[in-house]
Amino acid sequence: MIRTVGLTKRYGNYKAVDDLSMHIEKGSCFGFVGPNGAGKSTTMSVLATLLEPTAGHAYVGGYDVVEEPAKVRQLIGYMPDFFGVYDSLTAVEYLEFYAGAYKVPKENRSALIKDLLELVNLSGKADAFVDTLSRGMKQRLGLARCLIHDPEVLILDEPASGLDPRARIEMKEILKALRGMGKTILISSHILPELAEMCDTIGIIEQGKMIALAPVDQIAAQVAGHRVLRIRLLDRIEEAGYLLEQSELVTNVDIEGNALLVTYTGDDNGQVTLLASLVSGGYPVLSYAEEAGNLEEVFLTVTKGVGS
Amino acid sequence: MIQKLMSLEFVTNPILLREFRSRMRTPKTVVLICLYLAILGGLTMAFIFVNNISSVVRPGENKYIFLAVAIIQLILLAFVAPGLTAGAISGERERQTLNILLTTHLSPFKILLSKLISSMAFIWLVLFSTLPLYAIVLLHGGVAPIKLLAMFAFYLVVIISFGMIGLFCSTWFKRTGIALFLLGGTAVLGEMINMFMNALTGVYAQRPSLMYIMALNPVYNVWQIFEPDGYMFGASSNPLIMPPWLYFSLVYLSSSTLLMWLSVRLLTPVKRRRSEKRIEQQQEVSP
Repeated sequence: MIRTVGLTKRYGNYKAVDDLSMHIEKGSCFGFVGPNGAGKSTTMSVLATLLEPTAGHAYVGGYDVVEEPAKVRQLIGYMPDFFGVYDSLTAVEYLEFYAGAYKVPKENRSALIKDLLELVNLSGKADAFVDTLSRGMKQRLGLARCLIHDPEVLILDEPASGLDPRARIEMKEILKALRGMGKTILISSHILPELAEMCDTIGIIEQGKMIALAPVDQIAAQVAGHRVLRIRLLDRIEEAGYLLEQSELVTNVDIEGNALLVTYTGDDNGQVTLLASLVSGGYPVLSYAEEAGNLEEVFLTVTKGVGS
Repeated sequence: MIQKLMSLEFVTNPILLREFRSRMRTPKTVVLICLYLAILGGLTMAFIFVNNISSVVRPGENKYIFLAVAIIQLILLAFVAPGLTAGAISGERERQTLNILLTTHLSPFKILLSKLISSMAFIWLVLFSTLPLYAIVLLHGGVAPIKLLAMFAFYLVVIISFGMIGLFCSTWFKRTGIALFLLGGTAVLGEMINMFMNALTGVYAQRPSLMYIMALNPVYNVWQIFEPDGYMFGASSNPLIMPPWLYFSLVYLSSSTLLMWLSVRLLTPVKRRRSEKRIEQQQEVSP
Protein backbone atom coordinates (compact mmCIF):
# COMPACT_ATOMS: atom_id res chain seq x y z
CA MET A 1 0.00 0.00 0.00
CA ILE A 2 2.89 2.34 0.82
CA ARG A 3 6.24 2.03 -0.88
CA THR A 4 9.33 4.19 -0.97
CA VAL A 5 12.25 3.58 -3.27
CA GLY A 6 15.55 5.30 -2.51
CA LEU A 7 13.63 8.21 -1.02
CA THR A 8 15.90 11.14 -0.26
CA LYS A 9 15.08 14.59 1.03
CA ARG A 10 17.85 17.11 1.32
CA TYR A 11 17.81 20.61 2.83
CA GLY A 12 20.97 22.22 1.52
CA ASN A 13 23.77 19.95 2.66
CA TYR A 14 21.64 18.29 5.33
CA LYS A 15 20.04 14.98 4.42
CA ALA A 16 16.77 14.64 6.35
CA VAL A 17 15.93 11.36 4.62
CA ASP A 18 18.68 9.32 3.04
CA ASP A 19 17.95 6.61 0.48
CA LEU A 20 14.96 5.22 2.37
CA SER A 21 13.29 2.15 0.96
CA MET A 22 10.39 0.42 2.66
CA HIS A 23 7.17 -1.37 1.88
CA ILE A 24 3.98 -1.45 3.95
CA GLU A 25 1.36 -4.07 3.17
CA LYS A 26 -2.32 -3.22 2.85
CA GLY A 27 -4.17 -3.50 6.17
CA SER A 28 -1.03 -3.58 8.27
CA CYS A 29 0.11 -1.21 10.98
CA PHE A 30 3.63 0.09 10.61
CA GLY A 31 5.37 1.75 13.56
CA PHE A 32 7.93 4.36 12.67
CA VAL A 33 10.45 4.84 15.45
CA GLY A 34 13.36 7.17 15.75
CA PRO A 35 14.81 9.99 17.80
CA ASN A 36 13.81 13.60 17.15
CA GLY A 37 15.18 14.82 13.83
CA ALA A 38 15.62 11.29 12.49
CA GLY A 39 13.48 11.94 9.41
CA LYS A 40 10.13 10.40 10.43
CA SER A 41 8.05 13.54 9.97
CA THR A 42 9.83 14.39 6.73
CA THR A 43 9.06 10.95 5.31
CA MET A 44 5.44 11.28 6.41
CA SER A 45 5.20 14.75 4.85
CA VAL A 46 6.48 13.35 1.55
CA LEU A 47 3.89 10.57 1.70
CA ALA A 48 1.20 13.15 2.51
CA THR A 49 2.15 15.06 -0.70
CA LEU A 50 3.34 18.05 1.29
CA LEU A 51 7.03 17.79 0.49
CA GLU A 52 8.79 17.08 -2.73
CA PRO A 53 11.52 14.45 -2.44
CA THR A 54 14.96 15.44 -3.66
CA ALA A 55 15.47 11.97 -5.15
CA GLY A 56 13.77 8.61 -5.22
CA HIS A 57 10.08 7.81 -5.32
CA ALA A 58 7.21 7.31 -2.91
CA TYR A 59 3.98 5.54 -3.77
CA VAL A 60 0.68 5.27 -1.93
CA GLY A 61 -1.82 2.79 -3.32
CA GLY A 62 0.38 2.54 -6.40
CA TYR A 63 0.22 6.29 -7.11
CA ASP A 64 3.40 8.35 -7.20
CA VAL A 65 3.09 11.15 -4.62
CA VAL A 66 4.70 13.64 -7.00
CA GLU A 67 3.00 12.63 -10.23
CA GLU A 68 -0.50 12.01 -8.91
CA PRO A 69 -0.85 13.91 -5.62
CA ALA A 70 -4.65 14.32 -5.96
CA LYS A 71 -5.17 10.55 -6.13
CA VAL A 72 -2.85 10.04 -3.17
CA ARG A 73 -4.78 12.64 -1.14
CA GLN A 74 -7.99 10.73 -1.76
CA LEU A 75 -6.38 7.64 -0.22
CA ILE A 76 -4.77 9.16 2.85
CA GLY A 77 -5.83 10.70 6.11
CA TYR A 78 -2.91 12.70 7.48
CA MET A 79 -2.44 13.91 11.01
CA PRO A 80 0.73 15.99 11.57
CA ASP A 81 2.64 16.01 14.85
CA PHE A 82 1.49 19.57 15.54
CA PHE A 83 -1.70 20.90 14.12
CA GLY A 84 -4.06 23.72 14.85
CA VAL A 85 -7.82 23.89 14.85
CA TYR A 86 -10.24 26.64 13.93
CA ASP A 87 -11.19 27.92 17.35
CA SER A 88 -14.34 29.76 16.34
CA LEU A 89 -16.05 26.57 15.10
CA THR A 90 -17.86 23.86 17.03
CA ALA A 91 -16.70 20.24 16.74
CA VAL A 92 -19.50 19.50 14.26
CA GLU A 93 -18.76 22.61 12.18
CA TYR A 94 -15.07 21.72 12.18
CA LEU A 95 -15.83 18.29 10.73
CA GLU A 96 -18.39 19.79 8.32
CA PHE A 97 -15.70 22.10 7.01
CA TYR A 98 -13.39 19.19 6.19
CA ALA A 99 -16.27 17.13 4.81
CA GLY A 100 -16.81 20.01 2.37
CA ALA A 101 -13.09 20.21 1.65
CA TYR A 102 -13.08 16.47 0.80
CA LYS A 103 -16.28 16.83 -1.24
CA VAL A 104 -18.24 14.39 0.89
CA PRO A 105 -21.86 14.47 -0.41
CA LYS A 106 -23.90 16.92 1.64
CA GLU A 107 -26.69 14.46 2.39
CA ASN A 108 -24.25 11.99 4.02
CA ARG A 109 -22.44 14.49 6.20
CA SER A 110 -24.54 14.71 9.34
CA ALA A 111 -24.79 10.92 9.81
CA LEU A 112 -21.09 10.50 9.05
CA ILE A 113 -20.07 13.21 11.51
CA LYS A 114 -22.29 11.68 14.19
CA ASP A 115 -20.64 8.28 13.67
CA LEU A 116 -17.15 9.72 13.72
CA LEU A 117 -17.75 11.68 16.91
CA GLU A 118 -19.03 8.49 18.47
CA LEU A 119 -15.95 6.58 17.31
CA VAL A 120 -13.63 9.09 18.96
CA ASN A 121 -15.81 9.44 22.07
CA LEU A 122 -16.71 13.06 21.45
CA SER A 123 -20.47 12.76 20.96
CA GLY A 124 -21.02 14.78 24.10
CA LYS A 125 -18.89 17.62 22.75
CA ALA A 126 -20.54 17.90 19.34
CA ASP A 127 -21.67 21.49 19.89
CA ALA A 128 -18.73 22.59 22.00
CA PHE A 129 -16.37 25.15 20.50
CA VAL A 130 -13.09 23.56 19.53
CA ASP A 131 -11.06 25.95 21.70
CA THR A 132 -12.83 24.64 24.80
CA LEU A 133 -11.67 21.05 24.17
CA SER A 134 -8.71 19.53 26.01
CA ARG A 135 -5.58 18.55 24.11
CA GLY A 136 -6.59 14.89 24.15
CA MET A 137 -10.03 15.76 22.78
CA LYS A 138 -8.48 17.92 20.06
CA GLN A 139 -6.21 15.02 19.08
CA ARG A 140 -9.24 12.73 18.86
CA LEU A 141 -11.13 15.34 16.87
CA GLY A 142 -8.10 15.52 14.57
CA LEU A 143 -8.29 11.78 14.12
CA ALA A 144 -12.00 12.03 13.28
CA ARG A 145 -11.05 14.70 10.75
CA CYS A 146 -8.57 12.27 9.15
CA LEU A 147 -11.38 9.76 8.70
CA ILE A 148 -13.98 12.10 7.21
CA HIS A 149 -13.45 10.87 3.63
CA ASP A 150 -13.00 7.22 4.69
CA PRO A 151 -9.34 6.94 3.61
CA GLU A 152 -7.65 3.58 3.19
CA VAL A 153 -4.37 4.81 4.64
CA LEU A 154 -3.78 6.73 7.85
CA ILE A 155 -0.53 8.62 8.28
CA LEU A 156 -0.32 9.60 11.93
CA ASP A 157 2.68 11.56 13.13
CA GLU A 158 2.98 11.06 16.87
CA PRO A 159 -0.75 11.15 17.56
CA ALA A 160 -0.26 10.47 21.26
CA SER A 161 2.39 13.11 21.93
CA GLY A 162 1.61 15.44 24.79
CA LEU A 163 -1.32 13.39 26.02
CA ASP A 164 -1.84 12.26 29.61
CA PRO A 165 -1.90 8.48 30.31
CA ARG A 166 -5.69 8.22 30.12
CA ALA A 167 -5.85 10.09 26.82
CA ARG A 168 -3.05 7.88 25.49
CA ILE A 169 -4.98 4.76 26.35
CA GLU A 170 -8.12 6.17 24.69
CA MET A 171 -6.16 7.05 21.57
CA LYS A 172 -4.61 3.57 21.51
CA GLU A 173 -8.03 1.94 21.73
CA ILE A 174 -9.33 4.04 18.83
CA LEU A 175 -6.33 3.12 16.72
CA LYS A 176 -6.85 -0.56 17.48
CA ALA A 177 -10.47 -0.17 16.35
CA LEU A 178 -9.30 1.47 13.11
CA ARG A 179 -6.88 -1.33 12.51
CA GLY A 180 -9.76 -3.72 12.97
CA MET A 181 -11.56 -1.84 10.18
CA GLY A 182 -8.76 -2.80 7.81
CA LYS A 183 -7.08 0.60 7.53
CA THR A 184 -3.40 0.67 6.66
CA ILE A 185 -1.73 2.71 9.38
CA LEU A 186 1.66 4.37 9.40
CA ILE A 187 2.25 5.72 12.86
CA SER A 188 5.22 7.29 14.55
CA SER A 189 5.76 7.49 18.26
CA HIS A 190 8.34 7.77 20.97
CA ILE A 191 6.43 5.40 23.22
CA LEU A 192 7.79 2.15 21.89
CA PRO A 193 5.91 -0.38 24.02
CA GLU A 194 2.69 1.25 22.82
CA LEU A 195 3.75 0.81 19.22
CA ALA A 196 4.70 -2.80 19.89
CA GLU A 197 1.15 -3.45 21.11
CA MET A 198 -0.46 -1.98 18.01
CA CYS A 199 1.90 -2.55 15.11
CA ASP A 200 2.79 -5.54 12.95
CA THR A 201 6.05 -4.09 11.77
CA ILE A 202 8.53 -1.68 13.26
CA GLY A 203 11.00 0.46 11.37
CA ILE A 204 13.74 2.27 13.24
CA ILE A 205 15.11 5.34 11.51
CA GLU A 206 18.05 7.49 12.41
CA GLN A 207 19.76 10.31 10.54
CA GLY A 208 17.39 9.66 7.66
CA LYS A 209 18.40 6.03 7.27
CA MET A 210 16.33 2.97 8.09
CA ILE A 211 18.61 1.09 10.44
CA ALA A 212 16.24 -1.74 11.37
CA LEU A 213 13.04 -2.99 9.82
CA ALA A 214 11.28 -6.18 10.91
CA PRO A 215 8.04 -7.64 12.27
CA VAL A 216 7.51 -6.48 15.80
CA ASP A 217 8.31 -9.85 17.37
CA GLN A 218 11.54 -10.16 15.40
CA ILE A 219 12.90 -6.66 15.60
CA ALA A 220 14.89 -7.29 18.78
CA ALA A 221 16.44 -10.45 17.35
CA GLN A 222 17.18 -8.83 14.00
CA VAL A 223 18.79 -5.83 15.54
CA ALA A 224 20.68 -8.05 17.93
CA GLY A 225 23.08 -9.53 15.45
CA HIS A 226 24.83 -8.84 18.71
CA ARG A 227 23.87 -8.89 22.35
CA VAL A 228 24.05 -6.10 24.85
CA LEU A 229 25.83 -6.73 28.12
CA ARG A 230 25.21 -4.54 31.12
CA ILE A 231 28.24 -4.55 33.41
CA ARG A 232 27.98 -2.69 36.70
CA LEU A 233 31.21 -1.69 38.40
CA LEU A 234 32.01 -0.10 41.70
CA ASP A 235 34.55 2.27 40.09
CA ARG A 236 37.22 2.45 37.32
CA ILE A 237 34.36 2.46 34.78
CA GLU A 238 36.13 4.36 32.00
CA GLU A 239 39.25 2.23 32.40
CA ALA A 240 37.17 -0.97 32.15
CA GLY A 241 35.40 0.39 29.11
CA TYR A 242 38.76 1.06 27.43
CA LEU A 243 39.88 -2.51 28.19
CA LEU A 244 36.70 -3.99 26.69
CA GLU A 245 37.02 -1.88 23.54
CA GLN A 246 40.30 -3.67 22.80
CA SER A 247 38.36 -6.91 22.19
CA GLU A 248 37.55 -7.64 18.53
CA LEU A 249 34.12 -8.92 19.59
CA VAL A 250 33.09 -5.65 21.22
CA THR A 251 31.72 -3.10 18.74
CA ASN A 252 30.62 -0.40 21.11
CA VAL A 253 30.85 0.58 24.76
CA ASP A 254 28.58 3.16 26.39
CA ILE A 255 28.71 4.41 29.94
CA GLU A 256 25.43 4.76 31.79
CA GLY A 257 25.86 5.79 35.39
CA ASN A 258 27.99 3.16 37.06
CA ALA A 259 27.32 0.63 34.30
CA LEU A 260 28.79 -0.17 30.92
CA LEU A 261 26.52 -1.09 28.01
CA VAL A 262 28.64 -3.31 25.84
CA THR A 263 27.61 -4.31 22.34
CA TYR A 264 29.06 -7.78 21.94
CA THR A 265 29.08 -9.91 18.80
CA GLY A 266 30.68 -13.11 20.13
CA ASP A 267 29.32 -16.31 21.65
CA ASP A 268 28.86 -17.52 25.26
CA ASN A 269 32.48 -18.68 25.64
CA GLY A 270 33.74 -15.30 24.57
CA GLN A 271 31.40 -13.69 27.05
CA VAL A 272 32.97 -15.75 29.84
CA THR A 273 36.45 -14.78 28.66
CA LEU A 274 35.44 -11.12 28.70
CA LEU A 275 34.33 -11.38 32.33
CA ALA A 276 37.49 -13.25 33.23
CA SER A 277 39.63 -10.50 31.73
CA LEU A 278 37.82 -7.90 33.86
CA VAL A 279 38.15 -9.91 37.07
CA SER A 280 41.81 -10.77 36.45
CA GLY A 281 42.46 -7.10 35.81
CA GLY A 282 41.14 -6.37 39.30
CA TYR A 283 38.09 -4.43 38.17
CA PRO A 284 35.36 -4.33 40.87
CA VAL A 285 32.52 -5.99 38.90
CA LEU A 286 29.18 -5.73 40.73
CA SER A 287 27.05 -7.46 38.13
CA TYR A 288 27.46 -8.85 34.63
CA ALA A 289 24.27 -9.60 32.70
CA GLU A 290 22.84 -9.81 29.23
CA GLU A 291 20.23 -7.13 28.53
CA ALA A 292 16.67 -8.24 27.87
CA GLY A 293 15.80 -7.54 24.27
CA ASN A 294 12.87 -5.21 24.86
CA LEU A 295 12.02 -2.67 22.24
CA GLU A 296 13.23 0.35 24.15
CA GLU A 297 16.59 -1.24 24.79
CA VAL A 298 16.82 -2.21 21.15
CA PHE A 299 16.02 1.37 20.21
CA LEU A 300 18.59 2.79 22.59
CA THR A 301 21.13 0.29 21.37
CA VAL A 302 20.77 0.89 17.67
CA THR A 303 20.25 4.64 17.73
CA LYS A 304 22.84 7.11 18.83
CA GLY A 305 20.41 9.93 19.52
CA VAL A 306 22.01 12.15 16.90
CA GLY A 307 19.78 15.12 16.20
CA SER A 308 17.81 14.70 19.41
CA MET B 1 -34.92 28.60 -6.85
CA ILE B 2 -33.48 29.04 -3.36
CA GLN B 3 -32.46 25.37 -3.30
CA LYS B 4 -30.77 25.81 -6.67
CA LEU B 5 -28.94 28.86 -5.37
CA MET B 6 -27.86 27.04 -2.20
CA SER B 7 -26.37 24.19 -4.21
CA LEU B 8 -24.10 26.52 -6.17
CA GLU B 9 -20.38 25.89 -5.76
CA PHE B 10 -19.89 29.46 -4.59
CA VAL B 11 -22.38 29.06 -1.73
CA THR B 12 -21.17 25.61 -0.64
CA ASN B 13 -17.46 26.46 -0.77
CA PRO B 14 -16.25 25.26 2.66
CA ILE B 15 -13.56 27.93 3.05
CA LEU B 16 -16.04 30.72 2.34
CA LEU B 17 -18.55 29.27 4.79
CA ARG B 18 -15.91 28.92 7.47
CA GLU B 19 -14.49 32.40 6.90
CA PHE B 20 -17.94 33.99 7.06
CA ARG B 21 -18.80 32.05 10.22
CA SER B 22 -15.51 32.85 11.92
CA ARG B 23 -15.52 36.50 10.91
CA MET B 24 -19.05 37.16 12.07
CA ARG B 25 -18.49 35.45 15.43
CA THR B 26 -15.63 37.64 16.53
CA PRO B 27 -16.19 41.05 18.15
CA LYS B 28 -13.19 42.31 16.16
CA THR B 29 -15.45 42.54 13.10
CA VAL B 30 -17.86 44.94 14.79
CA VAL B 31 -14.96 46.98 16.16
CA LEU B 32 -13.35 47.20 12.69
CA ILE B 33 -16.58 48.36 11.02
CA CYS B 34 -17.22 50.91 13.78
CA LEU B 35 -13.64 52.18 13.55
CA TYR B 36 -13.84 52.46 9.77
CA LEU B 37 -17.13 54.36 9.95
CA ALA B 38 -15.79 56.60 12.71
CA ILE B 39 -12.69 57.52 10.69
CA LEU B 40 -14.54 58.03 7.41
CA GLY B 41 -17.47 59.78 9.09
CA GLY B 42 -15.16 61.99 11.16
CA LEU B 43 -13.09 63.03 8.14
CA THR B 44 -16.23 63.61 6.07
CA MET B 45 -17.88 65.76 8.70
CA ALA B 46 -14.65 67.70 9.19
CA PHE B 47 -14.40 68.26 5.45
CA ILE B 48 -18.02 69.44 5.25
CA PHE B 49 -17.45 71.77 8.19
CA VAL B 50 -14.27 73.29 6.77
CA ASN B 51 -15.81 73.59 3.31
CA ASN B 52 -18.84 75.43 4.64
CA ILE B 53 -16.99 77.89 6.88
CA SER B 54 -16.01 80.29 4.18
CA SER B 55 -18.69 79.71 1.60
CA VAL B 56 -22.38 79.99 1.26
CA VAL B 57 -24.09 76.61 1.63
CA ARG B 58 -25.86 75.67 -1.57
CA PRO B 59 -27.20 72.16 -1.17
CA GLY B 60 -27.13 70.11 -4.34
CA GLU B 61 -24.40 72.12 -6.05
CA ASN B 62 -21.21 71.01 -4.42
CA LYS B 63 -20.00 67.69 -5.74
CA TYR B 64 -16.47 68.23 -4.40
CA ILE B 65 -17.45 67.11 -0.93
CA PHE B 66 -18.68 63.89 -2.47
CA LEU B 67 -15.44 63.56 -4.41
CA ALA B 68 -13.42 64.15 -1.26
CA VAL B 69 -15.32 61.41 0.59
CA ALA B 70 -14.81 59.06 -2.34
CA ILE B 71 -11.06 59.69 -2.26
CA ILE B 72 -10.84 59.30 1.53
CA GLN B 73 -12.74 56.02 1.16
CA LEU B 74 -10.35 54.92 -1.58
CA ILE B 75 -7.30 55.62 0.60
CA LEU B 76 -8.84 53.71 3.51
CA LEU B 77 -9.64 50.79 1.19
CA ALA B 78 -6.05 50.78 -0.03
CA PHE B 79 -5.02 49.96 3.54
CA VAL B 80 -7.91 47.72 4.58
CA ALA B 81 -7.96 45.43 1.50
CA PRO B 82 -4.33 44.25 1.65
CA GLY B 83 -4.44 44.33 5.45
CA LEU B 84 -7.28 41.80 5.46
CA THR B 85 -5.67 39.44 2.95
CA ALA B 86 -2.16 39.75 4.43
CA GLY B 87 -3.00 37.17 7.07
CA ALA B 88 -5.03 34.86 4.85
CA ILE B 89 -2.38 32.22 4.13
CA SER B 90 0.31 33.12 6.66
CA GLY B 91 -2.41 33.03 9.34
CA GLU B 92 -3.26 29.46 8.35
CA ARG B 93 0.45 28.66 8.47
CA GLU B 94 0.86 30.20 11.92
CA ARG B 95 -2.25 28.40 13.17
CA GLN B 96 -0.72 25.16 11.80
CA THR B 97 -3.80 24.43 9.69
CA LEU B 98 -2.30 25.04 6.26
CA ASN B 99 -0.68 21.61 5.82
CA ILE B 100 -3.93 19.85 6.64
CA LEU B 101 -5.80 22.10 4.22
CA LEU B 102 -3.31 21.26 1.47
CA THR B 103 -3.92 17.53 1.88
CA THR B 104 -7.65 17.96 1.18
CA HIS B 105 -9.27 18.10 -2.26
CA LEU B 106 -9.09 21.89 -2.29
CA SER B 107 -6.60 23.05 -4.89
CA PRO B 108 -4.21 25.88 -4.00
CA PHE B 109 -6.05 28.08 -6.54
CA LYS B 110 -9.38 27.40 -4.90
CA ILE B 111 -7.94 28.09 -1.44
CA LEU B 112 -6.46 31.41 -2.59
CA LEU B 113 -9.54 32.45 -4.54
CA SER B 114 -11.82 31.64 -1.61
CA LYS B 115 -9.61 33.66 0.72
CA LEU B 116 -9.67 36.62 -1.69
CA ILE B 117 -13.44 36.43 -2.13
CA SER B 118 -14.09 36.17 1.61
CA SER B 119 -11.94 39.24 2.30
CA MET B 120 -13.61 41.11 -0.57
CA ALA B 121 -17.04 40.18 0.74
CA PHE B 122 -16.15 41.70 4.09
CA ILE B 123 -14.85 44.87 2.45
CA TRP B 124 -18.12 45.13 0.52
CA LEU B 125 -19.97 44.86 3.80
CA VAL B 126 -17.87 47.74 5.10
CA LEU B 127 -18.54 49.71 1.91
CA PHE B 128 -22.28 49.19 2.14
CA SER B 129 -22.20 50.25 5.75
CA THR B 130 -20.83 53.63 4.55
CA LEU B 131 -23.84 54.29 2.30
CA PRO B 132 -25.67 56.33 4.99
CA LEU B 133 -22.61 58.61 5.06
CA TYR B 134 -23.00 59.17 1.32
CA ALA B 135 -26.63 60.02 1.97
CA ILE B 136 -25.50 62.79 4.32
CA VAL B 137 -22.91 63.96 1.82
CA LEU B 138 -25.51 64.03 -0.96
CA LEU B 139 -27.36 66.74 0.97
CA HIS B 140 -24.40 69.01 0.29
CA GLY B 141 -23.75 68.11 -3.29
CA GLY B 142 -25.11 65.42 -5.55
CA VAL B 143 -23.72 63.28 -8.33
CA ALA B 144 -25.53 61.21 -10.91
CA PRO B 145 -26.39 57.65 -9.74
CA ILE B 146 -24.44 56.22 -12.70
CA LYS B 147 -21.30 57.91 -11.39
CA LEU B 148 -21.93 56.45 -7.97
CA LEU B 149 -22.17 53.00 -9.57
CA ALA B 150 -19.04 53.67 -11.63
CA MET B 151 -17.21 54.63 -8.46
CA PHE B 152 -18.22 51.39 -6.74
CA ALA B 153 -17.19 49.39 -9.82
CA PHE B 154 -13.83 51.14 -9.67
CA TYR B 155 -13.57 50.30 -5.97
CA LEU B 156 -14.10 46.66 -6.91
CA VAL B 157 -11.05 46.74 -9.19
CA VAL B 158 -9.01 48.46 -6.46
CA ILE B 159 -10.13 45.93 -3.81
CA ILE B 160 -9.24 42.96 -6.04
CA SER B 161 -5.86 44.42 -6.98
CA PHE B 162 -4.78 45.59 -3.54
CA GLY B 163 -6.26 42.48 -1.91
CA MET B 164 -4.27 40.33 -4.30
CA ILE B 165 -1.04 42.13 -3.34
CA GLY B 166 -1.79 41.29 0.30
CA LEU B 167 -2.61 37.69 -0.56
CA PHE B 168 0.62 37.29 -2.53
CA CYS B 169 2.69 38.66 0.37
CA SER B 170 0.80 36.34 2.72
CA THR B 171 1.67 33.35 0.55
CA TRP B 172 5.26 34.37 -0.03
CA PHE B 173 6.22 35.21 3.54
CA LYS B 174 5.85 32.76 6.37
CA ARG B 175 4.79 35.32 8.99
CA THR B 176 1.84 37.68 8.83
CA GLY B 177 3.91 40.38 10.53
CA ILE B 178 6.50 40.38 7.74
CA ALA B 179 3.76 40.38 5.08
CA LEU B 180 2.11 43.39 6.74
CA PHE B 181 5.46 45.17 7.13
CA LEU B 182 6.23 44.71 3.43
CA LEU B 183 2.75 45.85 2.50
CA GLY B 184 3.38 49.00 4.51
CA GLY B 185 6.65 49.40 2.62
CA THR B 186 4.82 48.97 -0.68
CA ALA B 187 2.26 51.59 0.37
CA VAL B 188 5.02 54.06 1.27
CA LEU B 189 6.74 53.36 -2.06
CA GLY B 190 3.44 53.87 -3.87
CA GLU B 191 2.98 57.15 -2.05
CA MET B 192 6.49 58.28 -3.05
CA ILE B 193 5.77 57.44 -6.67
CA ASN B 194 2.51 59.31 -6.34
CA MET B 195 4.29 62.41 -5.00
CA PHE B 196 6.84 62.15 -7.77
CA MET B 197 4.03 62.01 -10.31
CA ASN B 198 2.39 65.03 -8.71
CA ALA B 199 5.64 66.90 -9.10
CA LEU B 200 5.67 65.95 -12.75
CA THR B 201 2.17 67.22 -13.50
CA GLY B 202 3.66 70.61 -14.36
CA VAL B 203 5.66 69.11 -17.20
CA TYR B 204 2.78 66.94 -18.37
CA ALA B 205 2.03 69.22 -21.31
CA GLN B 206 5.56 68.68 -22.64
CA ARG B 207 5.48 64.90 -22.12
CA PRO B 208 1.99 63.47 -22.77
CA SER B 209 3.40 59.92 -22.61
CA LEU B 210 3.54 60.36 -18.82
CA MET B 211 -0.19 59.75 -18.96
CA TYR B 212 0.51 56.00 -19.17
CA ILE B 213 1.93 56.14 -15.65
CA MET B 214 -0.41 58.84 -14.39
CA ALA B 215 -3.48 56.80 -15.32
CA LEU B 216 -2.30 54.04 -12.96
CA ASN B 217 -2.91 56.31 -9.98
CA PRO B 218 -6.26 55.31 -8.43
CA VAL B 219 -6.91 58.79 -7.00
CA TYR B 220 -6.63 60.37 -10.45
CA ASN B 221 -9.05 57.75 -11.72
CA VAL B 222 -11.67 58.51 -9.07
CA TRP B 223 -11.26 62.17 -9.98
CA GLN B 224 -11.73 61.29 -13.62
CA ILE B 225 -15.00 59.46 -12.92
CA PHE B 226 -16.48 62.72 -11.58
CA GLU B 227 -14.56 65.10 -13.85
CA PRO B 228 -14.14 63.31 -17.19
CA ASP B 229 -12.95 66.49 -18.90
CA GLY B 230 -10.47 67.43 -16.19
CA TYR B 231 -7.12 69.10 -16.74
CA MET B 232 -5.15 66.02 -17.81
CA PHE B 233 -7.55 63.33 -18.93
CA GLY B 234 -9.57 65.68 -21.09
CA ALA B 235 -6.52 67.25 -22.73
CA SER B 236 -6.26 66.98 -26.49
CA SER B 237 -2.71 65.59 -26.16
CA ASN B 238 -3.92 62.61 -24.06
CA PRO B 239 -2.25 59.61 -25.77
CA LEU B 240 -4.48 56.93 -24.17
CA ILE B 241 -6.62 55.21 -26.77
CA MET B 242 -9.07 54.03 -24.12
CA PRO B 243 -10.73 55.57 -21.08
CA PRO B 244 -8.23 55.85 -18.20
CA TRP B 245 -10.36 53.66 -15.92
CA LEU B 246 -10.28 50.88 -18.52
CA TYR B 247 -6.52 51.22 -18.90
CA PHE B 248 -6.17 51.20 -15.09
CA SER B 249 -8.39 48.12 -14.78
CA LEU B 250 -6.57 46.21 -17.50
CA VAL B 251 -3.14 46.86 -16.00
CA TYR B 252 -4.16 46.19 -12.40
CA LEU B 253 -6.31 43.13 -13.11
CA SER B 254 -3.59 41.63 -15.34
CA SER B 255 -1.08 42.19 -12.53
CA SER B 256 -3.52 40.57 -10.10
CA THR B 257 -3.83 37.56 -12.40
CA LEU B 258 -0.04 37.30 -12.50
CA LEU B 259 0.16 37.56 -8.70
CA MET B 260 -2.52 34.87 -8.37
CA TRP B 261 -0.52 32.59 -10.67
CA LEU B 262 2.65 33.19 -8.65
CA SER B 263 0.75 32.60 -5.39
CA VAL B 264 -0.62 29.29 -6.69
CA ARG B 265 2.93 28.28 -7.65
CA LEU B 266 4.19 29.19 -4.19
CA LEU B 267 1.39 27.40 -2.38
CA THR B 268 1.52 24.19 -4.41
CA PRO B 269 3.55 21.84 -2.19
CA VAL B 270 4.58 19.31 -4.80
CA LYS B 271 5.32 20.29 -8.36
CA ARG B 272 5.27 17.57 -10.97
CA ARG B 273 8.69 16.72 -12.27
CA ARG B 274 7.93 17.66 -15.84
CA SER B 275 11.55 17.83 -16.95
CA GLU B 276 12.32 14.44 -15.41
CA LYS B 277 9.19 12.96 -16.94
CA ARG B 278 10.15 14.32 -20.33
CA ILE B 279 13.59 12.73 -20.03
CA GLU B 280 12.01 9.39 -19.05
CA GLN B 281 9.63 9.59 -21.99
CA GLN B 282 12.50 10.40 -24.35
CA GLN B 283 14.41 7.42 -23.01
CA GLU B 284 11.40 5.19 -23.62
CA VAL B 285 11.09 6.44 -27.19
CA SER B 286 14.78 6.01 -27.97
CA PRO B 287 16.01 2.83 -26.27
